[in-house]
Amino acid sequence: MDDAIADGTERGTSPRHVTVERIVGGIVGACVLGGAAIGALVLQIVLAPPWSRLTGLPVLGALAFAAFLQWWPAYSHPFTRWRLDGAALRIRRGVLWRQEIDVPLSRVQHTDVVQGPIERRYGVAKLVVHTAGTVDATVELGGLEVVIARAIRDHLVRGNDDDAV
Amino acid sequence: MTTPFEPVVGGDEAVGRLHPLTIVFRAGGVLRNAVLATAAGAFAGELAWLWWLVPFFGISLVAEVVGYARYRYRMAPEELIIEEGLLSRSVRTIPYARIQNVDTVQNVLHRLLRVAEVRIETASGQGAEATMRVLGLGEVEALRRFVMARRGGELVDGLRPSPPDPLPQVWGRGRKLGEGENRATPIVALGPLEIIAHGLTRNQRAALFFAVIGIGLNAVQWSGVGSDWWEHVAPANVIGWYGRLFRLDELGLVWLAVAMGIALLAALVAVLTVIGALWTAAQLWRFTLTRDGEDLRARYGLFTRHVATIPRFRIQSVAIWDSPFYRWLDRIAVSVETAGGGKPGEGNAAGTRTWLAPIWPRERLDALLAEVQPGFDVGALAWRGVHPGAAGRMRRRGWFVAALVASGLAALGWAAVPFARWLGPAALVVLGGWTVLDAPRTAAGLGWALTGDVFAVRNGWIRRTVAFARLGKIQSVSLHASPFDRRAGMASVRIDTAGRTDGEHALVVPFLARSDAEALRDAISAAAAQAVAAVARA
Repeated sequence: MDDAIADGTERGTSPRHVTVERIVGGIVGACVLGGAAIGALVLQIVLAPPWSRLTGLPVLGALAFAAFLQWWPAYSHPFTRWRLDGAALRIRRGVLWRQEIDVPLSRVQHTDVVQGPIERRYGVAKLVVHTAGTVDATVELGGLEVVIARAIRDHLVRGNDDDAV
Repeated sequence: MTTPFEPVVGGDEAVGRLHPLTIVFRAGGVLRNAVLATAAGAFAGELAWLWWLVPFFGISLVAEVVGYARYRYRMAPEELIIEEGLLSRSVRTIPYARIQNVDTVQNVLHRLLRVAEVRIETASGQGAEATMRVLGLGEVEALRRFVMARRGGELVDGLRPSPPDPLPQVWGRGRKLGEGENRATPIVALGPLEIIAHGLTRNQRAALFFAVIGIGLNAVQWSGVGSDWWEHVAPANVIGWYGRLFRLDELGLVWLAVAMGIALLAALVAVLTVIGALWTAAQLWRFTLTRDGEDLRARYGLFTRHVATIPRFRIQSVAIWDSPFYRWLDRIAVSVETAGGGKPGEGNAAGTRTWLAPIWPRERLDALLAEVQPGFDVGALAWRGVHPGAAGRMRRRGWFVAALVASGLAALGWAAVPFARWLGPAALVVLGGWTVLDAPRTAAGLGWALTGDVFAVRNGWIRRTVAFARLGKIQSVSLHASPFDRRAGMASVRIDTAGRTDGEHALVVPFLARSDAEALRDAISAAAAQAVAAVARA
């Protein structure tokens, strides 16, 4: 797992990232659904008969949102891709507004590998690359398998002999 | 000099203190707060509680004196060390190699008393790394020389051209150098007329904004009077008088009011532009740019005098632009963006923008650039245009916005305001006409060049801008494609540097053909990766 990853092949992120995103989305969705249920209950009490038929709407909206949060991770997953070679790290992302960013290895100031509790459980991690730039001073690549994130980090750090500002 | 700089030499170290006048300035600050508090108390009609503030101000006065007494800066072989504080003593270590600029600011009092506020800036982007308030001018110069000599070290020594080559003649009015200024060759020296001409171009938008706000507020006030408002207020009386004179009906009166409003707006804009011009001129008064080895130094200001140091190798991007007024005068403006020194609270937007010349004869651009970016030739740039469909996309976007505004105004007109009925079609004609005029010219103005070790972008046709960055300064390059871009087979390419890349310094090429964008991105990425060591230190 050393320089084998710096072969210039474009790769996707870990499929387990979808699971992690779905769990996070599930938690968010459940909270929204709970809030909507309470709201519906309040409306049911407050509103008079013709309007009280509409109290289901917030719940329906919340259900749609929760369903979206389960669907979106799988849909957007193939759009995030990365490629590493001897010269630069390229990250491709975005579903509607697409972006491809190239960070030359020599411009990497330092890197972080970040893992939340759920990510730790599933062995995925987020790689954060810092440059001396302004708009793109921090470049993030989430949902990598933790071994790959570390391997990329090691490669980036090793290639960083110069620091050019 | 009030107090000659006497380095206390211990080994290789020199120790310095703040100028004794520091106490006066700091006490002045406390006094100002006390006066403000008294004024606030007087305003509130309650002065008795102010006695409680006396010990508070007494303590802060003592704290300022102690702060002065406990402040030391030490010039160690490798770093500048600043020690301060009584109880919690802080020791700040700034390696010379990290210091970007040693800048000074002098307000009128500082200048009378021959002291200056010193700002030590690094690339951290958190504002000045250290502010030394205040130092005597002699100490400032000694500190600057010490820092700059060590900061360069073997890093830039090889590239330092020993005596700066004198320019055959200096454009603008020459002048005697002030105290504390060294006699390096002036590259740029601007006289009052040039500075005022520059000021005239700077504040038009702000003037327009404030004029609109001012008239808007007044209009609100007038409209509050009632439906027959032109009977009641002074400008409205004039309208009413003309209305009776020419026997205007209600619609005629409205148009007359609109015409008078426009005239008033024009007059206000003119007055505010002149005030703004004088203000800008005061800030940039006696602008000079000198070069001392690898360091460029800009000096400017009528009341508060600034000395900004720009190490040549820290320049991230250069922008050259003009406006119709500048073109008429055959002038351009040149600014640079350096890393670091950004103000706190601007997020990641670090970087400092400094004028190389706020106004400059176009034919002398090459001479200026030769001093600033040796080896760069703006004439040698091989410009390439963008996708031929760019104008069409801008036109469609323009018509869309025009239709949106027009339908909004039309809806407003039919709903409530009678004469707004005409504004809808009028907006469509004006905005649509502008789009037809603007889109092809803006598209033709867009271009990019990747020549040698330089990436350059040009855009605009009213204000024409050329911005460029050396490949060694490029931190990352990105390609962006919106859904509209993808439908048209286009993409934009943007580069990021350690200086800000907005406004005139924007390094973005929109509306590129997708394949061109990818090729450009790959070329910049590869070249930037290689160009590191060679250019970064040059």
